[in-house]
Formats: sequence, structure tokens, C-alpha cells
Amino acid sequence: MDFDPTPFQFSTGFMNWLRPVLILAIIGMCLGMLGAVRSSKNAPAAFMGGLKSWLADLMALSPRRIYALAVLTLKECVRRKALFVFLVFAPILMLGGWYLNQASTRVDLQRSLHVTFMLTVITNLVFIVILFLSCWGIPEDIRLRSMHTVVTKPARRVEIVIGRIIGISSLAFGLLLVMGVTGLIWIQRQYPAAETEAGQNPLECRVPQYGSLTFINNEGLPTTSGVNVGDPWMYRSFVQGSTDARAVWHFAGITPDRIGDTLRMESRFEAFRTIKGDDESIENGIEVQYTLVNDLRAECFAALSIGTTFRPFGDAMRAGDFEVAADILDTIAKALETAPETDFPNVDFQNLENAILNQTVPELKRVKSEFADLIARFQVLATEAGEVHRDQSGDRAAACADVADPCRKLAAQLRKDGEALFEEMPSIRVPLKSFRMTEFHEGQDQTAYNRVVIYAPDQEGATRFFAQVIGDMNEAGRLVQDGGITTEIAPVLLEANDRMEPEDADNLAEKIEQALESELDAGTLEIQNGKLVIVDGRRWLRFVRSLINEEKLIPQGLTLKADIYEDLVRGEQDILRVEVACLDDMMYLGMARSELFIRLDDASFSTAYAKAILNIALMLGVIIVIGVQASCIVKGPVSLVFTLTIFIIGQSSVQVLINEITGGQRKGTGMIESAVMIAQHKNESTGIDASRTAQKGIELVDNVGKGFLGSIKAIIPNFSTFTDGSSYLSAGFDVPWNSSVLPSLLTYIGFLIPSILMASAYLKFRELESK
Amino acid sequence: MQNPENVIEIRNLSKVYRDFWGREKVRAVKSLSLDVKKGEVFGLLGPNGSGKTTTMKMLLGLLFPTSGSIDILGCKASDVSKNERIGYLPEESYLYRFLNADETLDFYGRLFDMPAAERKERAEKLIERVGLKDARKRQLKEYSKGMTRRIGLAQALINDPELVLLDEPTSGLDPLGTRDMKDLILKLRDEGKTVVLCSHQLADVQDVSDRIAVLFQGELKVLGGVDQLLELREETEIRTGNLSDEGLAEVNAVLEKHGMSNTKIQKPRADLEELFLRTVRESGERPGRRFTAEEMAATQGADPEGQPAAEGAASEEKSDA
Repeated sequence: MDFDPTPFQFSTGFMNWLRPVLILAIIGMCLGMLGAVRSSKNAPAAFMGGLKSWLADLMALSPRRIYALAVLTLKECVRRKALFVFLVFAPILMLGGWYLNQASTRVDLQRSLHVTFMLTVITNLVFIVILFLSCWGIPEDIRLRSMHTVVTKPARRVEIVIGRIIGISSLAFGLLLVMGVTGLIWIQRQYPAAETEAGQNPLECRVPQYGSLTFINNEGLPTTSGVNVGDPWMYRSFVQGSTDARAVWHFAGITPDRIGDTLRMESRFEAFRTIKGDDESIENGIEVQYTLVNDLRAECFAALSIGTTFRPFGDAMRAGDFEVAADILDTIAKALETAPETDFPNVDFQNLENAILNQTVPELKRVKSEFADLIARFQVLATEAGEVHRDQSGDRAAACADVADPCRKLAAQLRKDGEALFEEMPSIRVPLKSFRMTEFHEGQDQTAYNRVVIYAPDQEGATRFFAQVIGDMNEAGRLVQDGGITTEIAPVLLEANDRMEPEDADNLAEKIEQALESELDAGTLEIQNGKLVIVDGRRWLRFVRSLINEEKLIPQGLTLKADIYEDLVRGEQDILRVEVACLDDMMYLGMARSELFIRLDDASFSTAYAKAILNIALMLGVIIVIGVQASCIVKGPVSLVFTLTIFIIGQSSVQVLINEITGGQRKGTGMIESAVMIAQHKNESTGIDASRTAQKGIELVDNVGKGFLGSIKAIIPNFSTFTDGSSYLSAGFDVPWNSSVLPSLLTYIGFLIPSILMASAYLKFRELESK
Repeated sequence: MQNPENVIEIRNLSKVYRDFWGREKVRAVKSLSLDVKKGEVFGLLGPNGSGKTTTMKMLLGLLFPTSGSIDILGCKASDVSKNERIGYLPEESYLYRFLNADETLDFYGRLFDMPAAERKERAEKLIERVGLKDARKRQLKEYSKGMTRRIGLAQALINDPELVLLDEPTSGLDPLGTRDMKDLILKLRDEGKTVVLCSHQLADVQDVSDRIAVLFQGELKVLGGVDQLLELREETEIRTGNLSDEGLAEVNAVLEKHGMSNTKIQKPRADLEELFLRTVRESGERPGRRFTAEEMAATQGADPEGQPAAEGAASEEKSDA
């Protein structure tokens, strides 16, 4: 599982497509005008006439003619012995199993090997066939002048191009269909024995629900990445064991309809050990714990903790201590106004600015719009102050002072809204049972949890539970009995939490009774009309919180139950937050985005296989389109080399290389620079021996070359888009429509349309009989 | 504006072949202007390299004129829609060799957007007409050259065209096939179609053309009606039945009386084509027989026509097979 699937962004993809297409269209128009100038005395009229005629051809497409040309192409392919490819395929099928079946004892690796082998064989065989057919067909037709008998009929050149593409594609799809079905049967026949031995389905087809990954560092603050343990491959980030460090996943779309009553999670983490540890750690793996979290305060305020000055403010906000946060803000405001900026070296407005910009303000707005507006205003001023400091321009002291006023206003608002905010922004943390992980190279860990999870709550969880029970009982008039606190709290506790042991309920009921009696005696509570009233007007949540904070009520032995969908999933996008911690000291846990996912119901292997084959078909479709397009312009061998070159450049490794060259990450890769290096026996670390002016000149020319290389890359398809489907399948995953099939389909269409237009234009304005 | 009587109007047509750098290589056609009238058979003649095939390819849009204009059936040569009313037989039959006759005609019929029933009917008639009924299921690569020309002709006529362009129509055909082709050209003319042909076979062109144009080194040298151009105005030819010696003497006397001293009177000779056609016909009627020169001479003057094209074609096909 070394891939990171990302959903296809249609708008981005469309713009990436539109840009080169428009540029190519402009280049095509320029070339057309140049051709008109060369061949006609009245070039503009000739150009417009040609353009009009070409557009008229596009409007006059005939399905019957296209069908005829497609069938002709198909017959041509078949009668040129294209089906002889099966003579190669058959022995591979017959003999392949001999070499593959014993290659590995692990079922998943065995499956991966078989699937990869079959899809590779199919892809390569059909690729070779269609490469020759698409590159050779039209040039051969022109050479033999068969084309003359077609173009002297009402067949439009664009129809010839489309017909040929459809014809070769039909053959390719036919070959893929036959080979694909045969391959599927072959793969399925390899596994009956393995299935019974391993007790699992070797052809399982997992459907993952991936999330987004961020981190919490050792100090409990949010970051975008974890610790780097020295691995040059930056794919994984690590969290340190037995600290506050966490990896935080947010999974969207977690609904009962999609997930069901069992939450299945699958992970494949890497362990990094700083000590050998005991045998158990090595043999059984290090200990990992998931915590399901619904903490809107953490989501909203965690980033405020960045920066020394504002960190206490952010921490208080996260903890729900809004009064404390208000006090801190007042202190900061005072200091901002009175002290010169040199006395405030730790005010990091840059961080504050970033922190606030990252807030999920819309979500906060639903809680308290006034509060959210204040945050927004605060953000604007802090941003401006940040800019003044960053640019070291303007009156920095005045900028600091400007922030003081909103600080005070925010503090006042917090005092006013704090209690309500605390009620409406709960923090529920449900730690799940820890487990010893499997090393990533040995397999994956699968864990499953019921929809209703039993857990030991933290202090806030207990507070909310007790406040709820006490508040409800008091509202119903059941808390006061005979002028004192009722002794019948235990049944209510059991009623509110049916997983609680009766003994624990009795203990806790007794503690609550004692605490409330004590507060009655102290005068903080009064009995009015058979109900308890908090004398200073606080609400029950805040009151109970103070009881627990002051250890007047200790929630020992309390267990609660949480419904994943009702209590933990939040927001319109049904987001579930999962925090992953390493529990072993001195150990690090390495994770990448795709290495923890929620497993949905498995898909059918056959369906996923079909999707992988469809992806291959679309890739071959692009090859056909490019081959046919090239063959309209150049002769067969040149067209073949051209298409093959495109295919090679379109491989992901080459694309990465080009990215590195054009992005300047690879030193000494300029065309002239490297030539000079060779001549001078220099290398990229020494640089070339030339004057500064010469170096600048070389750099300039090389940058033009690199720009050209980048432009070429922009119009060449990334063929890994199409082979992703095979990777998913061989790794035991379903092939997702959104991040695999759809991008492939759109890439195909993106190449098909402009290629047809370009090829038809060239074929139309080309003299078939030119000498 | 095109004259409605003209099917083709060529004005100041020139074609220059250039190399990659745009330098002139060959000036194949130089300021050619001519008209082809509706319903006539027009022959385009000239030695190799005279520009007649280039002209025909420009008519078809396979080549673009360097200058000048072409109006063909009221359209520009580059207008693809004109092809709906044109039939074209290329110099060699560049058809798809992996198709059989039925598939070939069906394919080209589809290119004319013809419905299935119409395609089938037309193909049936044309296969009959060109005498390939028995060979319709064989791939074209198995055909002899003559058969290939005939299926080529059939595909050129699949759309019942108004204008038929024939490039070397009799090239590669045996005398029987040549005769059939010429008959067909005349028949097309009788049906009101216009035929433009270019050929090296001057006798064939002479037999069927109403008007001809002779090109040399890309220039139009001669243009006019065949009868008008070939008429020998200083001589008179009298043809009659077989005269006795007395009859000949009397004719000579009459001619001398009119002052005709340079008179040539002889038994006319049939041409080789006629002899060949008659031999084939007789062989068909009397198989296993070998004919003497006297026997063939005895039947001279008999009408060699009337041999159905299909029969002739069938005999050729058998021999090819």
C-alpha cells in the first residue's frame, strides 16, 4: 500500500486541460495561417475558407460512414493477423501458474503477484498490437492509395480519423475483454486451496474510506506533519510513543448507511525503535491506541495555542475555560498597549495570523455568531499587525496597540458567552482498546468496533453525564426528598447508562448525594419549591464541573457508552475524528494518509477487476488516439517512435524526473550547463567554470529549455493514472470510481477530442498526393 | 458563375510541386483552362508527365491548386459534398484487398450514406454489370488485374454518379475487358452522365470521346471535338460490300473521270481487336475447335458486338482462376 489516493478535482483537472488545449489551438491557427501564406496569394481568404470547410466537415458527421470506416479498420486489423496475439497469450496462461504459485506463502502477496502478472501480460500484449495498428494504418492507406478511394467519396477526413480510432479501439477492447475474462478465470482458479488454508478470502476487495491526516506534537499542539526519524523517504510521519503526540485522521461521510453497525478500521503502520525493547515489543509489535474524538473546541481553538504569548489563551479555549481565556486576553491587551514592542519579543503575529486563518470559523459561527464575528475581526487586525511585523514597516507599536481593543472585546464576549459555549461545544473522547500492531511489511491490522462503544470518560465526560442526570432529576422534582437530597439517584444513573454495573451506580449515587448535601450545607445550593437552585445562578454543567474540579465529586468507576454516529460524528459532512497514539515509550509510530482507513463493505473482486481492465482499456485508448493522430502527420515508423516516446515520458517516474528538473530540484540539469560541465570535467557540486555573466546567460537559455520541457510534460498524459487501477486491485482494494476510473475516463476524453480535431485538420489540409 | 451547361470549369489552373523548403521542383500544370460539358465523354490526353493525372487529382481534391480555380458540379474542388455526385476510378484499383466484392461495394455504399436496401440493390446490379457474380465472395487480393479494374469501376458507380472520372480506365484490361469498358462509357454517356477519362490508349479514347484535350508539359496544346480534330479534309473514304473485279474496274473508271489519280482501292482489314473478339466468341460457341485463317476471313465483317459483357468476363475469370 504505497500509494496515496486522492479524489479527482474536476475543476482543477479541467483548467489543466483547457490551458494547453487553447495554446495548441492558437499554435494550430498560426501554422494554418503560415500554410495559407505559403500556398495561396490570398492567404486570409484561404485560411478562413479552410477553417470554414473544416468546421462544416465537423458538422456533417455521418454515423453510417463512421461505422463503415470503423468496421473496415476492424476487418483490416483482424485480417492482418492481429488475433495472433492469442498464440502468445495462451502459453503464458498455461505455464504462468507453474512459476507463480509457489512464489510466496503469504496469501496477499500471492494474490498481488497473480493479479499484477495477469494485468501486466494483458496490457503489454494488447499494447504492442495496437501500437503498430494505430501508427501504421493511415500511413499505409496513404502509401497504397486506398485512402484515395475513400476521400474521393463524401467521407470527411474527421470521419476517417474517428472511424480508425473506433475500429482499433474495438479490436483492443475485444482483445481486452477476451483476455480479461480468461485472466479472471485463471486468477480465480489459483486460489481454492489458499482460501481454505488461510481462512480468509484471498480475492477480497476492500473498499477503504480514506481521511485527511494531521498531527499533534509532543506538546499537544496541532501540526501538519509528525517527527522525521531520518528516513529520506518523506512518505510517512512519525509520532513519539508515550507522549501527547497523536496522528489525527478526519474521516468524512461516516453514516450508518455507509458503515453499518460495525466500524471496521484497517491500518498498516511502520515502527521505528530507538531501543531494542523487550522481546514482547519486537515479537508482538508496539502498542497502538485509537481514540474517537468529538471535540469541536479542539478543532476551533487548537491553532490559537501556537506562539508563546497566545498559547495560554489557546490552551484555555481548548479546555473550555473561557473565563480564564478572557483573563489572559485582558492581560495581553494591557501589555500590548503599555509596553513597547521590544518588551514583547515573543509575540509571534505570524503564527497568530496563521493560526486564526486556519480556524473553522463557519462551524464556530453556528455556535455563537457574535463570538465568531469577533474572532473574524480579531483575525483581520492580527493579520494586519502580522504584516507590519513581517515587513518591518509602519508603526509596529501602533499595530500592537490596535490588536488590544479587539482582545478586550473578545474577552468581554467570552465572559458573556463562555458558559453557553462550553455547553454547546462538548469534547467527547472515547479511547478504544489498544492493540499490538503488525509491522507494515508483514501485513495490516484490522480492528472492528460496535456502533455503541463503552468507555471510561475523562473529566469532562463525567461532568456532562452527572450534570445531565442531576439537571434532569431536579427538573422533574425527583432530586429533593423530605427536605434533603434523595437517596434514589442510583436507579436514575442505571436508567441513563444501562451498561453501568449496579454496584458502581450505588457508589456514584452515594458520592453525588454527599456532594450535593455538602453544597446545601455550604449554602451554594438552596431548596425552592421542591427543587434545588444554584444560589449564584450558574447552570448545572458549570456547577458540577466545579465540584469535580475541586474533587468534591470523584467519578471513579464510571463507564459510559457512546454511539459513534450520534455522539462522535459531527458536522454536515459527518466527520469522525480518530486520534492514533503510540503507547510504548521510546518507540515511534510512522504513518501516511492512506495507512489508516475505515473499511466499508467489501466489493466484488470481479467488478473491481473489470474496472482495472477498463482503466487499461482507457490507457490503450489514449495510445490509439495518439498513434492515429501521429500517423496522420508522419509516416508509420516515425509515428510509432513518437507514440512510444510519449508513452515513456508519460510514466510516473519520468514525470517526477521532469518535475524535478523543471522545478530546479536537480542541480546541473540544464542542457547547456551540463554540456559545459562535461567539457570542463566539472560536476553539479562544483559548478561550471565561467564568468558570472556567462553563467547567467547559460542559466537563461537553460531555463527556456526547462520551460519547454515543462510545457511538453503538461500535454503528455500521466499513464500512472491508468495503471492505478491495477495497483489497487493487486493490493486487495476495490478500484474507486472517483480517484481512479473517473480520472482515467476524463483523461481519455481530454485527449480524444483535441486529438481528433488536430488529426482531422492535418489530414484535411494535407495533400495526400504531394510529391 | 458557372455555365449550367458545364460540369467542370477550370480557369488558369496551375500546380507547382515544391520541396520542403518551398523551392519549386516541378511545374506540373500551367495556366490550364477548359470546360467539360454536361453529358459528354471528355478525353484528357498527353504523354507521361504532361499533367493530366495531376489535373484529375486536383479535380478530386487530392491535390490543391497553386493558383487558378476549379468549379466542379457547381462546387469548389475542396468541397467534400461534391463527391456525392462523382464516381472515380483511380489509375490502379487501390481498393482494400482484404475485402471481397460484396464487402467492397457495401463499404463504399455506406460512405455515400446509402441505406442498406439501396446499397444491396445497387451492389447486386453492379456486380452483375461488371461480371463478377461468381467471384463476389473472393477477397480482392485473389482477383486478376482485369477483375480488380472491374470491381474498381463498380465502386465508382455505386452512387449512380452524374460525373465519372476515369483514370486510365482500360489499363491492364484484355481486349474483351477493354471493349466492355468502352461500351460502358458509351452507355454512361447515353444515360446522360458526363465522363472524363485520361488515358495513354489513344485508340480507346478516340473510340469513345466526344471531345479531347491534349496536354504537354502541363500546358493545354489541343482542345476540341474528336471528329473535328481527326477529320481528313483532303480525302474521301467510301466503304461498301464485297465488290467483284468488274465492279472495281467501274469504280476506278468513275474516279478517273473525276480526276482522282492517286486512288487506293483494297480489301479493308479488320483490326486485331476485332479478330480477337471474334475468336473468343467462336471459341465459346464451338469449344475444342481450332480455326484456320480462311475460316476467320470468311466471317470477317460480321458484327463482333453483341457479346454480353458478363459472358466475356466470366470466360476471363475462368481462365484467371
